[in-house]
Amino acid sequence: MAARNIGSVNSPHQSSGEPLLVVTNLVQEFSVPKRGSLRNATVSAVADVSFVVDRGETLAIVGETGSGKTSLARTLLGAPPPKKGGITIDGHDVTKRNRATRKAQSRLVQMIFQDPSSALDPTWSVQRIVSEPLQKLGLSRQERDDRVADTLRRVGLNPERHSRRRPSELSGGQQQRVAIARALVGRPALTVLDEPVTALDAATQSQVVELLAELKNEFGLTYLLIAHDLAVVQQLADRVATMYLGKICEEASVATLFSTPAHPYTAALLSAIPSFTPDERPRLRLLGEPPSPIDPPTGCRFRTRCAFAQEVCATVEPRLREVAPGQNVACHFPLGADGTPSTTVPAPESLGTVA
Amino acid sequence: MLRMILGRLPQMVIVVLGTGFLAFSIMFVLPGDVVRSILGDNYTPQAAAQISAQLHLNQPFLIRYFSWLGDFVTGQLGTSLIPPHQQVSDLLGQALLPTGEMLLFGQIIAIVLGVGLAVLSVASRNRVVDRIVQAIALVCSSIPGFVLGLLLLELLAVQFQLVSPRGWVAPADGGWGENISHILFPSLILGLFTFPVMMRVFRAELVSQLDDEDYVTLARLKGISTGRLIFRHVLRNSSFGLLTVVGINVARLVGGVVVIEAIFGIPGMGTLIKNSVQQHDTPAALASITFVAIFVVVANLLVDIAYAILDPRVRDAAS
Amino acid sequence: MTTATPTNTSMIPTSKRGPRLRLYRARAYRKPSVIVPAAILLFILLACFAGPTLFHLPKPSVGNLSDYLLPIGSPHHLLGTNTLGNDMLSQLLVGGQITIIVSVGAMALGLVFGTLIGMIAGYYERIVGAVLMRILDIIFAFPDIILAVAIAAYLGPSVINTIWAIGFFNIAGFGRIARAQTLRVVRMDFIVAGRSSGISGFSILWTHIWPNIAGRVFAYALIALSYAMMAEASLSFLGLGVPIPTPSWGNIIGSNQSYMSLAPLLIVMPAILLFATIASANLLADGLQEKRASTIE
Repeated sequence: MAARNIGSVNSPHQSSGEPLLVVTNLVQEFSVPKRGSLRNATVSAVADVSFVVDRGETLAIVGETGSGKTSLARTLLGAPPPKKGGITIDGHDVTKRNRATRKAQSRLVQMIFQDPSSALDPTWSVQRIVSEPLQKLGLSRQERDDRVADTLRRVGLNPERHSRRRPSELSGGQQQRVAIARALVGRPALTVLDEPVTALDAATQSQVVELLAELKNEFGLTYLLIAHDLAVVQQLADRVATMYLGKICEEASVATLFSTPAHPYTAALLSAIPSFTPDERPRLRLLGEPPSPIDPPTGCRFRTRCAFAQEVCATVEPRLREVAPGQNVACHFPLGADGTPSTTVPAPESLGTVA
Repeated sequence: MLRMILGRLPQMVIVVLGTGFLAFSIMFVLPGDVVRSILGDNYTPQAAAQISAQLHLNQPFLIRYFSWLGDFVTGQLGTSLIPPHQQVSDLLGQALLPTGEMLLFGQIIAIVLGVGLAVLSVASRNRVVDRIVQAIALVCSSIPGFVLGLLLLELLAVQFQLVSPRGWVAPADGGWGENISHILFPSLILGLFTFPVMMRVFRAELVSQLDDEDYVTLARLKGISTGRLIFRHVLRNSSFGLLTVVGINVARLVGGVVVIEAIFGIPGMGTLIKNSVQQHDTPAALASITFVAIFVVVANLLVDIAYAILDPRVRDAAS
Repeated sequence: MTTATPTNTSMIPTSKRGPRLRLYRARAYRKPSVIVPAAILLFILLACFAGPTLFHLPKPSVGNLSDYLLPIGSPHHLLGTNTLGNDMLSQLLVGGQITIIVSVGAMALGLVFGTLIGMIAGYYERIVGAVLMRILDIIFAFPDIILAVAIAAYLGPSVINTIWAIGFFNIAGFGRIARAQTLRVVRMDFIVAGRSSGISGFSILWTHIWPNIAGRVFAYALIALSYAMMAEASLSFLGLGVPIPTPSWGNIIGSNQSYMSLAPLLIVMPAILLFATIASANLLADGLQEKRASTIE
């Protein structure tokens, strides 16, 4: 991996057997002041998460507010860098913050943020905002301007009309289009989309989702999509991972996960939306409130809200394992096709007793 | 709460040490031959050597700073370099009473004016009253304290002879009654000079309470008048705002004291600082400046603590 | 939010900022609460700097003792003379020059260094920020006048030293404003976006953060200017600022203090000028802030 030099970033979409994004045992923590104590408490936002995303694939990460999905997204951008674990994008270890990776970063990963009004500098013109990621790429002025105009056109904006405007002079949908143009202008290997349409109104939402899907197909982009709206996930994603309190619960293709969720948390998330649950499966409800990430439950982090929790769930943390082809679950008692636990005895793989 | 105080303590110590260091640097790093300016016409090599030794001038700067700091902490403030060479601690002691009285009365007058006028302008719900109050504040905040002092002194003391132009009568000479009646006029000027900032902050606090807080909307729906609302509910909730302005005002009052004392010839801390600095009386200048800095820092800390005790939101947020 | 776009936007010759924005900004400033104080300030500025040459005024300190205390309206001495026979109009206008130079210089000193320190303290929050903030706290804990008195006394009274003395304590005020504003801007996603484009820290400070905090910093600059003017006047009054015979509004008042009952105008005239200038700066700051509140939110 290290042998590959920075120059290869210039052709990020080359095909190679290796996944584009490799995340291994990623840990992100924040310290917050603790009530009635002199020491800081540690919030575990991302706890030992591993996954890969292949080139041209879209992985969606879903979960409730506070599940750590946005922390995960920001960690991928190095804002802030992870506490532990590895992130490799297109063969580059981006956890090492040196001059070379910083220079290459705009070609490796870019992010589309939830709130376009915060993602665009209000004092900059659209032209300047979109050309920012090109600054460190050594392009001529003419090349830069052409790239910016092309990209603006591609996201549905008119370079003549819009490029001199400030963000405040654009509508919310136009602002998000500018943010998309900014993220994609440097053709990054990976694009992280953090709730890209949540801040928009319903009509604009569908337009922007459509645009993201088109761009993905046209340029063969790789997306990491953070979302809580499952309709958006269904439209954009190839695979889905559900996240709960900083851990990945389940990971599978969109079709598998939506039709036969194996983790009770996934099933509960889907149950909240009527059209997603087949009639024959029982609806699951989440019990109580999510526990504090400062003091997460022992064993399985979901057990305090799980309808099927047993004693072993409190003591042994379930490992992520394959229960069906392409479907990985971190649960001792994964749900079967009928929506109830298929076993009464935890599998040795989930207990971690076999290597 | 405890966490907040403990968190602030080291911060406070650092600030105090830093102010001492700053004062010390000003005295010794800035250009000018200290020894020569102290001795003036009495310059002889022997006297110069003696002064140098007294000020530890032949030692490195940092060592001098720490030896001074050690002396300061243990209360050995040294003696004044200016005849009659009084103990600096005595000088400080004498200067404390006039300045303390002025700060106390000035603060009270500023609070009464600041809060009173802020409540008046908001409660009256009358644009004209509000404008007049704002104008008064603008005038008072745009006149330098010494100009205000000179003009009022001329008008009230010299032309109409309503008050005594003397600012200070020691309690030992004229009794406490005389003493307080003389210090009130300078304190009034100090209050006039400092209240506009308090008024503005407090007025903004009142307006935001009246605009934003749900309980105000609720009370309005019940038909309670603005005036009653302010006195029954908002004032209590705005007391945090009041504390903040009291804190802000301490530094401004202390700054104003130097000028007001100069006008009225009051022998307080301001006069002590001004004279000792001007005469390069280093031990007295260092001690008095550091003392004032500690006073301001401690006052701000007390305000922060009071704030934390009063407001559960701050208390729980812990810093 | 909708965009009511005049369709001919692209036909107007465009400046770097774009024509729409300029028009919109100019309109926001066109109201009495901005224009009146700005006009007064401009008038005072012109009078002080152009007046003495324009009206062929005598030098402020070459008066003849036999002409002492001439009344207002005397031939050749429009505003009379002081106790030394110096022309008061000349004293006031030249004194105004000095007062304005000193306070603008001191303000600029605070603006440059304070804003720089504050921005760095806000951007590099952890160790660098904490250290810088403690330093600003230290400067802030010093009551400004006392600090200026100390510096001015040890440097000796002169125009330049007065600028240093007042400018030094201005640093803390600007530093706090700049830091608070930087902390607000640093939370924005466009900073993360910029960093992920490989832009360096100082470049982000200059291109993203400074434009977003400049408005607030300049609004504070007017307030700092009025403080600096008061400080100059107070220091000169105490005899620690601008030294006589160079006039400044502060030392004109100070040096005529003992003639208050005899010739009150010698004090009232500079006091009025001082007041008018400081009040206009304060009003202008208010007017500009009003504009911010009504158009930004």
